[in-house]
Amino acid sequence: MARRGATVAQLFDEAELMAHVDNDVAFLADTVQMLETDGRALMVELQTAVAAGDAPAVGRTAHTLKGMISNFCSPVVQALAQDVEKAGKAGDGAGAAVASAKLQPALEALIVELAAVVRARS
Amino acid sequence: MRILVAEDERITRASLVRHLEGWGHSVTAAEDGAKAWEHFQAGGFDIVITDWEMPRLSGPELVKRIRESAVATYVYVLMLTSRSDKSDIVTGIEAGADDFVSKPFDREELRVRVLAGERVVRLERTLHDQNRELAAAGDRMRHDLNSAARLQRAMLPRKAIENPRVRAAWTYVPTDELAGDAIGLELIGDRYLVAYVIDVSGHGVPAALLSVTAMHALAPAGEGASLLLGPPGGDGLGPVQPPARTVAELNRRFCASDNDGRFLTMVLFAFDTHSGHATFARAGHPLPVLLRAGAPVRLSDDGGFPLGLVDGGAYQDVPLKFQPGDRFFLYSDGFLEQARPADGKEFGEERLRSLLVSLADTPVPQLVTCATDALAEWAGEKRFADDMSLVAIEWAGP
Repeated sequence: MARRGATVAQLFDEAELMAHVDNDVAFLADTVQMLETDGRALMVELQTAVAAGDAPAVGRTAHTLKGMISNFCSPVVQALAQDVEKAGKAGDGAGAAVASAKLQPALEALIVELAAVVRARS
Repeated sequence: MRILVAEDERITRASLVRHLEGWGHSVTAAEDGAKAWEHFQAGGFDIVITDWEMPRLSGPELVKRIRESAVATYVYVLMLTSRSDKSDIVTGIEAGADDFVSKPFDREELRVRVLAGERVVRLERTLHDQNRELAAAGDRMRHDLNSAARLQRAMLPRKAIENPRVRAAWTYVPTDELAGDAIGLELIGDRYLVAYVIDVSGHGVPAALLSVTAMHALAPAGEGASLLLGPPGGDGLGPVQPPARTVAELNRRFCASDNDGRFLTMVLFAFDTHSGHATFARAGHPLPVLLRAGAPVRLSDDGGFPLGLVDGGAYQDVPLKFQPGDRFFLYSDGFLEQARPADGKEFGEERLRSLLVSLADTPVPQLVTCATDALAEWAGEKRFADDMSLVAIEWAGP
Protein backbone atom coordinates (compact mmCIF):
# COMPACT_ATOMS: atom_id res chain seq x y z
CA MET A 1 0.00 0.00 0.00
CA ALA A 2 1.36 3.41 -1.01
CA ARG A 3 2.45 5.83 1.66
CA ARG A 4 0.38 8.96 1.74
CA GLY A 5 2.15 11.02 4.37
CA ALA A 6 1.83 14.81 4.03
CA THR A 7 5.58 15.44 3.78
CA VAL A 8 6.11 12.78 1.15
CA ALA A 9 3.19 14.05 -0.87
CA GLN A 10 4.78 17.49 -0.97
CA LEU A 11 8.10 16.30 -2.40
CA PHE A 12 7.23 13.52 -4.86
CA ASP A 13 4.35 11.58 -6.36
CA GLU A 14 4.80 8.09 -4.96
CA ALA A 15 2.21 6.45 -7.19
CA GLU A 16 3.79 7.92 -10.31
CA LEU A 17 7.24 6.95 -9.08
CA MET A 18 6.23 3.33 -8.48
CA ALA A 19 4.68 3.18 -11.94
CA HIS A 20 7.86 4.64 -13.39
CA VAL A 21 9.91 1.81 -11.89
CA ASP A 22 7.28 -0.81 -12.71
CA ASN A 23 6.77 -1.35 -8.94
CA ASP A 24 10.24 -2.78 -8.82
CA VAL A 25 11.30 -1.87 -5.28
CA ALA A 26 14.77 -3.37 -5.70
CA PHE A 27 15.40 -1.14 -8.71
CA LEU A 28 14.00 1.84 -6.82
CA ALA A 29 16.37 1.06 -3.96
CA ASP A 30 19.28 1.01 -6.41
CA THR A 31 18.35 4.36 -7.89
CA VAL A 32 17.80 5.96 -4.48
CA GLN A 33 21.23 4.69 -3.49
CA MET A 34 22.64 6.33 -6.63
CA LEU A 35 20.88 9.57 -5.71
CA GLU A 36 22.42 9.44 -2.26
CA THR A 37 25.94 9.10 -3.68
CA ASP A 38 25.83 10.83 -7.09
CA GLY A 39 23.23 13.43 -6.09
CA ARG A 40 25.08 14.49 -2.95
CA ALA A 41 28.36 14.56 -4.89
CA LEU A 42 26.81 16.75 -7.55
CA MET A 43 25.40 19.03 -4.87
CA VAL A 44 28.89 19.48 -3.42
CA GLU A 45 30.25 20.12 -6.90
CA LEU A 46 27.50 22.66 -7.47
CA GLN A 47 28.17 24.51 -4.24
CA THR A 48 31.89 24.63 -5.07
CA ALA A 49 31.12 26.10 -8.50
CA VAL A 50 28.77 28.66 -6.93
CA ALA A 51 31.42 29.66 -4.42
CA ALA A 52 34.00 29.97 -7.19
CA GLY A 53 31.62 32.05 -9.32
CA ASP A 54 32.04 29.54 -12.16
CA ALA A 55 28.71 30.15 -13.87
CA PRO A 56 29.16 27.65 -16.76
CA ALA A 57 30.01 24.90 -14.25
CA VAL A 58 27.00 25.90 -12.16
CA GLY A 59 24.69 25.64 -15.17
CA ARG A 60 26.18 22.33 -16.33
CA THR A 61 26.13 20.68 -12.91
CA ALA A 62 22.64 21.90 -12.07
CA HIS A 63 21.44 20.57 -15.41
CA THR A 64 22.76 17.10 -14.61
CA LEU A 65 21.32 17.23 -11.11
CA LYS A 66 17.96 18.30 -12.52
CA GLY A 67 17.96 15.30 -14.88
CA MET A 68 18.82 12.98 -12.00
CA ILE A 69 16.02 14.32 -9.80
CA SER A 70 13.55 14.05 -12.69
CA ASN A 71 13.63 10.26 -12.24
CA PHE A 72 11.91 10.59 -8.86
CA CYS A 73 8.70 12.35 -9.89
CA SER A 74 9.49 15.36 -7.76
CA PRO A 75 8.55 18.49 -9.69
CA VAL A 76 9.20 20.67 -6.65
CA VAL A 77 12.85 19.67 -6.19
CA GLN A 78 13.35 19.46 -9.94
CA ALA A 79 12.12 23.06 -10.27
CA LEU A 80 14.62 24.17 -7.63
CA ALA A 81 17.45 22.53 -9.60
CA GLN A 82 16.19 24.23 -12.74
CA ASP A 83 16.30 27.62 -10.96
CA VAL A 84 19.99 27.04 -10.23
CA GLU A 85 20.64 25.92 -13.81
CA LYS A 86 18.91 29.03 -15.22
CA ALA A 87 20.85 31.34 -12.92
CA GLY A 88 24.13 29.62 -13.82
CA LYS A 89 23.47 29.75 -17.57
CA ALA A 90 22.47 33.41 -17.22
CA GLY A 91 25.74 34.14 -15.38
CA ASP A 92 23.72 35.23 -12.34
CA GLY A 93 26.08 34.26 -9.50
CA ALA A 94 23.96 35.78 -6.72
CA GLY A 95 20.80 34.12 -8.02
CA ALA A 96 22.63 30.80 -8.29
CA ALA A 97 23.79 31.09 -4.68
CA VAL A 98 20.26 31.77 -3.45
CA ALA A 99 18.75 28.98 -5.55
CA SER A 100 21.38 26.41 -4.60
CA ALA A 101 20.86 27.26 -0.93
CA LYS A 102 17.20 26.30 -1.38
CA LEU A 103 18.03 23.20 -3.41
CA GLN A 104 20.45 21.60 -0.96
CA PRO A 105 17.99 20.94 1.91
CA ALA A 106 15.24 20.01 -0.50
CA LEU A 107 17.48 17.37 -2.06
CA GLU A 108 18.42 16.05 1.37
CA ALA A 109 14.76 15.84 2.33
CA LEU A 110 13.94 14.05 -0.89
CA ILE A 111 16.70 11.49 -0.32
CA VAL A 112 15.49 10.85 3.22
CA GLU A 113 11.89 10.44 2.17
CA LEU A 114 12.72 8.21 -0.78
CA ALA A 115 14.80 6.00 1.49
CA ALA A 116 11.84 5.77 3.83
CA VAL A 117 9.59 4.62 1.01
CA VAL A 118 12.13 1.98 0.01
CA ARG A 119 12.34 0.72 3.59
CA ALA A 120 8.58 0.62 3.92
CA ARG A 121 8.14 -1.34 0.73
CA SER A 122 11.04 -3.75 1.14
CA MET B 1 16.68 -4.20 -31.80
CA ARG B 2 20.22 -3.32 -30.76
CA ILE B 3 20.04 0.00 -28.96
CA LEU B 4 22.87 2.29 -27.90
CA VAL B 5 22.08 4.60 -24.99
CA ALA B 6 24.25 7.67 -24.45
CA GLU B 7 23.46 9.35 -21.14
CA ASP B 8 25.94 10.81 -18.68
CA GLU B 9 23.57 10.86 -15.72
CA ARG B 10 23.67 7.45 -14.05
CA ILE B 11 20.11 7.11 -12.77
CA THR B 12 18.48 8.08 -16.07
CA ARG B 13 20.88 5.77 -17.88
CA ALA B 14 20.03 2.86 -15.58
CA SER B 15 16.33 3.58 -15.91
CA LEU B 16 16.53 3.68 -19.72
CA VAL B 17 18.48 0.43 -19.85
CA ARG B 18 16.05 -1.30 -17.51
CA HIS B 19 12.98 -0.27 -19.54
CA LEU B 20 14.53 -1.06 -22.91
CA GLU B 21 15.80 -4.45 -21.81
CA GLY B 22 12.40 -5.16 -20.29
CA TRP B 23 10.89 -4.63 -23.75
CA GLY B 24 13.25 -7.20 -25.22
CA HIS B 25 15.95 -4.99 -26.69
CA SER B 26 19.67 -5.55 -26.50
CA VAL B 27 21.11 -2.42 -24.90
CA THR B 28 24.60 -0.97 -24.67
CA ALA B 29 24.98 2.04 -22.37
CA ALA B 30 27.64 4.76 -22.59
CA GLU B 31 28.35 7.38 -19.94
CA ASP B 32 29.21 10.15 -22.39
CA GLY B 33 29.11 11.03 -26.09
CA ALA B 34 32.70 10.02 -26.81
CA LYS B 35 32.22 6.57 -25.29
CA ALA B 36 28.98 6.21 -27.24
CA TRP B 37 30.83 7.07 -30.45
CA GLU B 38 33.39 4.34 -29.69
CA HIS B 39 30.59 1.80 -29.20
CA PHE B 40 28.85 2.99 -32.34
CA GLN B 41 31.95 2.54 -34.47
CA ALA B 42 32.13 -1.07 -33.34
CA GLY B 43 28.88 -1.36 -35.30
CA GLY B 44 25.60 -3.18 -35.26
CA PHE B 45 23.20 -0.68 -33.66
CA ASP B 46 19.69 -0.16 -34.98
CA ILE B 47 18.63 2.67 -32.68
CA VAL B 48 20.61 5.30 -30.75
CA ILE B 49 19.06 7.14 -27.82
CA THR B 50 21.20 10.05 -26.76
CA ASP B 51 21.10 12.81 -24.19
CA TRP B 52 21.67 16.37 -25.34
CA GLU B 53 24.28 17.70 -22.91
CA MET B 54 27.12 15.28 -22.22
CA PRO B 55 30.80 15.64 -21.36
CA ARG B 56 33.43 15.21 -24.10
CA LEU B 57 30.94 14.91 -26.97
CA SER B 58 27.47 16.44 -27.04
CA GLY B 59 24.35 14.69 -28.29
CA PRO B 60 24.03 16.80 -31.48
CA GLU B 61 27.72 16.25 -32.27
CA LEU B 62 27.32 12.49 -31.73
CA VAL B 63 24.31 12.47 -34.08
CA LYS B 64 26.23 14.46 -36.68
CA ARG B 65 29.06 11.93 -36.58
CA ILE B 66 26.60 9.04 -36.90
CA ARG B 67 25.01 10.61 -39.97
CA GLU B 68 28.39 11.30 -41.55
CA SER B 69 29.61 7.77 -40.92
CA ALA B 70 29.49 5.17 -43.69
CA VAL B 71 27.16 2.70 -41.98
CA ALA B 72 25.51 0.37 -44.46
CA THR B 73 22.01 0.60 -43.01
CA TYR B 74 19.96 3.38 -41.49
CA VAL B 75 20.28 4.04 -37.76
CA TYR B 76 17.28 5.62 -36.05
CA VAL B 77 18.22 8.34 -33.56
CA LEU B 78 16.12 9.50 -30.62
CA MET B 79 17.27 12.51 -28.62
CA LEU B 80 16.43 13.12 -24.99
CA THR B 81 15.60 16.71 -24.22
CA SER B 82 14.11 18.71 -21.37
CA ARG B 83 10.55 19.90 -21.71
CA SER B 84 11.85 23.46 -21.50
CA ASP B 85 14.24 22.96 -24.41
CA LYS B 86 11.75 22.63 -27.30
CA SER B 87 13.72 25.14 -29.35
CA ASP B 88 16.54 22.60 -29.41
CA ILE B 89 14.40 20.37 -31.64
CA VAL B 90 15.39 22.37 -34.73
CA THR B 91 19.08 21.94 -33.93
CA GLY B 92 18.62 18.23 -33.23
CA ILE B 93 16.69 17.55 -36.43
CA GLU B 94 19.26 19.49 -38.42
CA ALA B 95 22.00 17.40 -36.84
CA GLY B 96 20.20 14.26 -38.02
CA ALA B 97 17.95 13.13 -35.16
CA ASP B 98 14.72 11.39 -36.13
CA ASP B 99 12.63 12.02 -33.03
CA PHE B 100 12.70 13.29 -29.46
CA VAL B 101 11.78 11.99 -26.05
CA SER B 102 11.11 14.55 -23.36
CA LYS B 103 12.97 14.44 -20.04
CA PRO B 104 11.91 13.33 -17.54
CA PHE B 105 10.80 10.63 -19.91
CA ASP B 106 7.47 8.98 -19.62
CA ARG B 107 7.78 5.20 -19.83
CA GLU B 108 4.89 4.79 -22.31
CA GLU B 109 6.07 7.69 -24.45
CA LEU B 110 9.52 6.13 -24.61
CA ARG B 111 8.04 2.73 -25.52
CA VAL B 112 5.94 4.02 -28.43
CA ARG B 113 8.69 6.25 -29.77
CA VAL B 114 11.09 3.32 -29.78
CA LEU B 115 8.34 1.28 -31.43
CA ALA B 116 8.04 3.92 -34.17
CA GLY B 117 11.82 3.76 -34.58
CA GLU B 118 11.65 -0.01 -34.90
CA ARG B 119 9.11 0.33 -37.72
CA VAL B 120 11.35 2.77 -39.58
CA VAL B 121 14.40 0.55 -39.08
CA ARG B 122 12.56 -2.56 -40.29
CA LEU B 123 11.18 -0.72 -43.32
CA GLU B 124 14.62 0.60 -44.11
CA ARG B 125 16.13 -2.88 -43.75
CA THR B 126 13.50 -4.29 -46.10
CA LEU B 127 14.24 -1.52 -48.60
CA HIS B 128 17.97 -2.08 -48.18
CA ASP B 129 17.59 -5.82 -48.80
CA GLN B 130 15.37 -5.22 -51.82
CA ASN B 131 17.84 -2.71 -53.24
CA ARG B 132 20.64 -5.22 -52.75
CA GLU B 133 18.59 -7.91 -54.51
CA LEU B 134 17.81 -5.46 -57.33
CA ALA B 135 21.47 -4.59 -57.67
CA ALA B 136 22.39 -8.28 -57.74
CA ALA B 137 19.69 -8.93 -60.34
CA GLY B 138 21.02 -5.97 -62.35
CA ASP B 139 24.53 -7.39 -62.16
CA ARG B 140 23.30 -10.80 -63.28
CA MET B 141 21.38 -9.26 -66.19
CA ARG B 142 24.39 -7.16 -67.18
CA HIS B 143 26.58 -10.24 -67.02
CA ASP B 144 24.06 -12.22 -69.07
CA LEU B 145 23.76 -9.40 -71.61
CA ASN B 146 27.54 -9.22 -71.95
CA SER B 147 27.70 -13.00 -72.39
CA ALA B 148 24.93 -12.87 -74.99
CA ALA B 149 26.70 -10.00 -76.76
CA ARG B 150 29.94 -12.04 -76.85
CA LEU B 151 28.02 -14.99 -78.30
CA GLN B 152 26.40 -12.73 -80.88
CA ARG B 153 29.76 -11.24 -81.86
CA ALA B 154 31.15 -14.77 -82.17
CA MET B 155 28.62 -15.40 -84.96
CA LEU B 156 29.88 -12.46 -87.01
CA PRO B 157 32.26 -13.09 -89.90
CA ARG B 158 35.65 -14.05 -88.51
CA LYS B 159 37.72 -11.82 -90.76
CA ALA B 160 37.84 -9.89 -93.97
CA ILE B 161 38.19 -11.81 -97.24
CA GLU B 162 41.23 -11.15 -99.35
CA ASN B 163 42.35 -13.21 -102.32
CA PRO B 164 43.56 -12.34 -105.83
CA ARG B 165 39.99 -12.05 -107.15
CA VAL B 166 38.00 -10.52 -104.35
CA ARG B 167 38.44 -8.41 -101.27
CA ALA B 168 35.67 -7.90 -98.75
CA ALA B 169 35.50 -6.24 -95.35
CA TRP B 170 32.81 -5.26 -92.91
CA THR B 171 32.04 -3.07 -89.94
CA TYR B 172 29.35 -3.47 -87.32
CA VAL B 173 28.57 -1.02 -84.54
CA PRO B 174 25.74 -2.08 -82.19
CA THR B 175 23.93 0.68 -80.34
CA ASP B 176 23.44 -1.45 -77.20
CA GLU B 177 25.17 -4.53 -75.83
CA LEU B 178 23.00 -6.66 -78.08
CA ALA B 179 22.27 -5.73 -81.68
CA GLY B 180 19.29 -6.20 -83.97
CA ASP B 181 21.59 -6.07 -86.98
CA ALA B 182 23.25 -9.19 -88.33
CA ILE B 183 25.79 -9.52 -91.08
CA GLY B 184 27.26 -12.46 -92.93
CA LEU B 185 30.25 -12.75 -95.20
CA GLU B 186 31.47 -16.12 -96.41
CA LEU B 187 33.57 -17.45 -99.27
CA ILE B 188 32.25 -20.91 -100.08
CA GLY B 189 34.54 -23.34 -101.87
CA ASP B 190 37.04 -20.49 -102.35
CA ARG B 191 34.83 -19.22 -105.19
CA TYR B 192 31.30 -18.25 -104.19
CA LEU B 193 30.97 -15.23 -101.96
CA VAL B 194 27.81 -14.80 -99.95
CA ALA B 195 27.08 -11.64 -97.99
CA TYR B 196 24.02 -10.37 -96.20
CA VAL B 197 22.83 -7.65 -93.86
CA ILE B 198 19.77 -8.17 -91.68
CA ASP B 199 18.07 -5.51 -89.59
CA VAL B 200 15.46 -6.54 -86.99
CA SER B 201 12.92 -3.90 -85.98
CA GLY B 202 13.51 -2.62 -82.46
CA HIS B 203 16.44 -3.15 -80.15
CA GLY B 204 17.48 -5.19 -77.15
CA VAL B 205 17.17 -8.85 -76.34
CA PRO B 206 14.11 -9.73 -78.52
CA ALA B 207 15.65 -8.10 -81.60
CA ALA B 208 19.01 -9.76 -80.91
CA LEU B 209 17.41 -13.19 -80.52
CA LEU B 210 15.68 -12.81 -83.90
CA SER B 211 18.88 -11.66 -85.59
CA VAL B 212 20.77 -14.62 -84.09
CA THR B 213 18.02 -16.97 -85.27
CA ALA B 214 18.40 -15.61 -88.80
CA MET B 215 22.21 -15.85 -88.65
CA HIS B 216 21.95 -19.42 -87.45
CA ALA B 217 19.61 -20.36 -90.31
CA LEU B 218 22.06 -18.82 -92.79
CA ALA B 219 25.25 -20.16 -91.26
CA PRO B 220 27.07 -22.21 -93.90
CA ALA B 221 29.00 -24.15 -91.24
CA GLY B 222 26.35 -26.85 -90.91
CA GLU B 223 26.06 -26.85 -94.65
CA GLY B 224 23.38 -29.52 -94.93
CA ALA B 225 20.91 -27.35 -93.01
CA SER B 226 21.94 -23.92 -94.28
CA LEU B 227 19.28 -21.99 -96.16
CA LEU B 228 22.02 -20.48 -98.26
CA LEU B 229 22.81 -23.69 -100.05
CA GLY B 230 20.76 -25.48 -102.64
CA PRO B 231 20.75 -29.06 -103.93
CA PRO B 232 23.62 -30.11 -106.23
CA GLY B 233 22.98 -29.07 -109.82
CA GLY B 234 20.45 -26.47 -108.78
CA ASP B 235 19.69 -23.16 -110.48
CA GLY B 236 21.81 -20.92 -108.24
CA LEU B 237 25.41 -19.90 -108.36
CA GLY B 238 27.21 -23.17 -107.77
CA PRO B 239 26.09 -24.56 -104.41
CA VAL B 240 24.49 -21.26 -103.41
CA GLN B 241 20.80 -21.24 -104.09
CA PRO B 242 19.15 -18.16 -105.60
CA PRO B 243 18.98 -15.45 -102.90
CA ALA B 244 15.27 -14.77 -103.48
CA ARG B 245 14.51 -18.40 -102.62
CA THR B 246 16.51 -18.18 -99.40
CA VAL B 247 14.81 -14.92 -98.47
CA ALA B 248 11.37 -16.42 -99.19
CA GLU B 249 12.13 -19.42 -96.99
CA LEU B 250 13.27 -17.16 -94.15
CA ASN B 251 10.06 -15.16 -94.57
CA ARG B 252 8.01 -18.35 -94.35
CA ARG B 253 9.76 -19.35 -91.13
CA PHE B 254 9.40 -15.97 -89.48
CA CYS B 255 5.73 -15.67 -90.49
CA ALA B 256 5.10 -19.06 -88.89
CA SER B 257 6.67 -18.07 -85.57
CA ASP B 258 5.59 -15.57 -82.94
CA ASN B 259 7.93 -12.62 -83.28
CA ASP B 260 6.05 -10.35 -80.90
CA GLY B 261 5.20 -7.99 -83.74
CA ARG B 262 8.77 -7.70 -84.93
CA PHE B 263 9.92 -7.99 -88.53
CA LEU B 264 13.25 -8.12 -90.34
CA THR B 265 14.64 -6.41 -93.39
CA MET B 266 17.35 -8.13 -95.35
CA VAL B 267 19.56 -7.97 -98.38
CA LEU B 268 21.28 -11.16 -99.54
CA PHE B 269 24.03 -11.19 -102.14
CA ALA B 270 25.60 -14.16 -103.93
CA PHE B 271 28.63 -13.77 -106.17
CA ASP B 272 30.70 -16.11 -108.36
CA THR B 273 34.17 -14.61 -107.96
CA HIS B 274 35.40 -16.56 -110.99
CA SER B 275 32.85 -15.41 -113.51
CA GLY B 276 31.71 -12.07 -112.03
CA HIS B 277 28.06 -13.20 -112.08
CA ALA B 278 26.10 -12.05 -109.03
CA THR B 279 22.56 -11.92 -107.73
CA PHE B 280 20.94 -10.13 -104.86
CA ALA B 281 17.50 -10.11 -103.32
CA ARG B 282 15.93 -7.63 -100.91
CA ALA B 283 13.21 -7.79 -98.30
CA GLY B 284 12.32 -4.24 -97.34
CA HIS B 285 16.01 -3.39 -97.03
CA PRO B 286 17.89 -0.35 -98.40
CA LEU B 287 19.18 -0.77 -101.95
CA PRO B 288 22.87 -1.77 -102.17
CA VAL B 289 25.37 0.52 -103.87
CA LEU B 290 27.41 -0.59 -106.90
CA LEU B 291 30.35 1.59 -107.93
CA ARG B 292 31.89 1.07 -111.33
CA ALA B 293 34.98 3.07 -112.25
CA GLY B 294 34.30 5.12 -109.11
CA ALA B 295 30.73 6.09 -110.08
CA PRO B 296 27.37 4.72 -108.82
CA VAL B 297 25.50 2.33 -111.12
CA ARG B 298 21.73 2.42 -111.05
CA LEU B 299 20.34 -0.86 -109.69
CA SER B 300 16.91 -2.38 -110.03
CA ASP B 301 14.87 -1.61 -106.94
CA ASP B 302 12.91 -4.87 -107.18
CA GLY B 303 12.28 -6.31 -103.76
CA GLY B 304 9.67 -7.61 -101.39
CA PHE B 305 8.12 -6.97 -98.02
CA PRO B 306 10.18 -7.26 -94.85
CA LEU B 307 10.42 -10.78 -93.43
CA GLY B 308 7.72 -11.88 -91.03
CA LEU B 309 5.00 -9.52 -92.31
CA VAL B 310 3.32 -11.19 -95.31
CA ASP B 311 3.07 -14.96 -95.42
CA GLY B 312 3.88 -16.22 -98.94
CA GLY B 313 5.47 -12.90 -99.93
CA ALA B 314 7.31 -12.93 -103.25
CA TYR B 315 10.93 -11.83 -103.67
CA GLN B 316 12.92 -11.14 -106.81
CA ASP B 317 16.47 -11.98 -107.72
CA VAL B 318 18.32 -9.06 -109.25
CA PRO B 319 21.13 -10.36 -111.51
CA LEU B 320 24.36 -8.43 -111.97
CA LYS B 321 27.48 -8.91 -114.04
CA PHE B 322 30.51 -7.45 -112.34
CA GLN B 323 33.38 -5.82 -114.14
CA PRO B 324 36.91 -5.82 -112.76
CA GLY B 325 37.32 -3.05 -110.19
CA ASP B 326 33.60 -2.93 -109.29
CA ARG B 327 32.74 -2.29 -105.69
CA PHE B 328 29.50 -3.40 -104.05
CA PHE B 329 28.15 -2.24 -100.67
CA LEU B 330 25.50 -3.62 -98.36
CA TYR B 331 24.47 -1.62 -95.30
CA SER B 332 21.73 -1.19 -92.74
CA ASP B 333 19.41 1.78 -92.41
CA GLY B 334 21.27 2.80 -89.24
CA PHE B 335 23.78 4.32 -91.65
CA LEU B 336 21.17 6.32 -93.55
CA GLU B 337 19.01 7.43 -90.64
CA GLN B 338 21.74 8.64 -88.30
CA ALA B 339 20.77 12.23 -87.45
CA ARG B 340 23.15 15.16 -87.06
CA PRO B 341 22.61 16.56 -83.55
CA ALA B 342 22.73 20.19 -84.64
CA ASP B 343 19.74 20.06 -87.00
CA GLY B 344 18.39 16.49 -86.91
CA LYS B 345 19.28 16.01 -90.59
CA GLU B 346 19.80 12.35 -91.54
CA PHE B 347 22.95 11.09 -93.23
CA GLY B 348 20.87 9.78 -96.16
CA GLU B 349 21.48 7.76 -99.32
CA GLU B 350 22.97 10.59 -101.37
CA ARG B 351 25.58 11.40 -98.72
CA LEU B 352 26.42 7.70 -98.37
CA ARG B 353 26.92 7.34 -102.13
CA SER B 354 29.07 10.49 -102.20
CA LEU B 355 31.11 9.17 -99.27
CA LEU B 356 31.71 5.81 -100.97
CA VAL B 357 32.68 7.59 -104.21
CA SER B 358 35.11 9.81 -102.29
CA LEU B 359 36.71 6.65 -100.87
CA ALA B 360 37.08 5.03 -104.29
CA ASP B 361 40.87 4.91 -103.97
CA THR B 362 40.85 3.69 -100.38
CA PRO B 363 41.50 -0.04 -100.01
CA VAL B 364 38.40 -1.93 -98.90
CA PRO B 365 39.68 -2.91 -95.40
CA GLN B 366 40.43 0.75 -94.60
CA LEU B 367 37.30 1.98 -96.37
CA VAL B 368 34.89 0.48 -93.85
CA THR B 369 36.77 2.19 -91.02
CA CYS B 370 36.81 5.52 -92.85
CA ALA B 371 33.08 5.25 -93.53
CA THR B 372 32.39 4.56 -89.86
CA ASP B 373 34.52 7.53 -88.87
CA ALA B 374 32.62 9.76 -91.27
CA LEU B 375 29.32 8.66 -89.76
CA ALA B 376 30.69 9.23 -86.25
CA GLU B 377 31.70 12.75 -87.26
CA TRP B 378 28.15 13.29 -88.54
CA ALA B 379 26.67 11.92 -85.29
CA GLY B 380 29.12 13.82 -83.07
CA GLU B 381 30.16 10.57 -81.36
CA LYS B 382 30.94 6.97 -82.21
CA ARG B 383 27.74 5.75 -80.63
CA PHE B 384 24.90 5.70 -83.07
CA ALA B 385 21.14 5.92 -82.62
CA ASP B 386 20.67 2.58 -84.37
CA ASP B 387 22.80 -0.46 -85.07
CA MET B 388 25.06 0.23 -88.04
CA SER B 389 26.41 -2.36 -90.46
CA LEU B 390 28.39 -2.02 -93.65
CA VAL B 391 29.83 -4.71 -95.93
CA ALA B 392 32.18 -3.68 -98.75
CA ILE B 393 33.16 -6.03 -101.60
CA GLU B 394 35.62 -5.35 -104.41
CA TRP B 395 36.15 -7.61 -107.43
CA ALA B 396 39.59 -7.56 -109.02
CA GLY B 397 38.56 -9.72 -111.96
CA PRO B 398 38.47 -13.43 -112.92
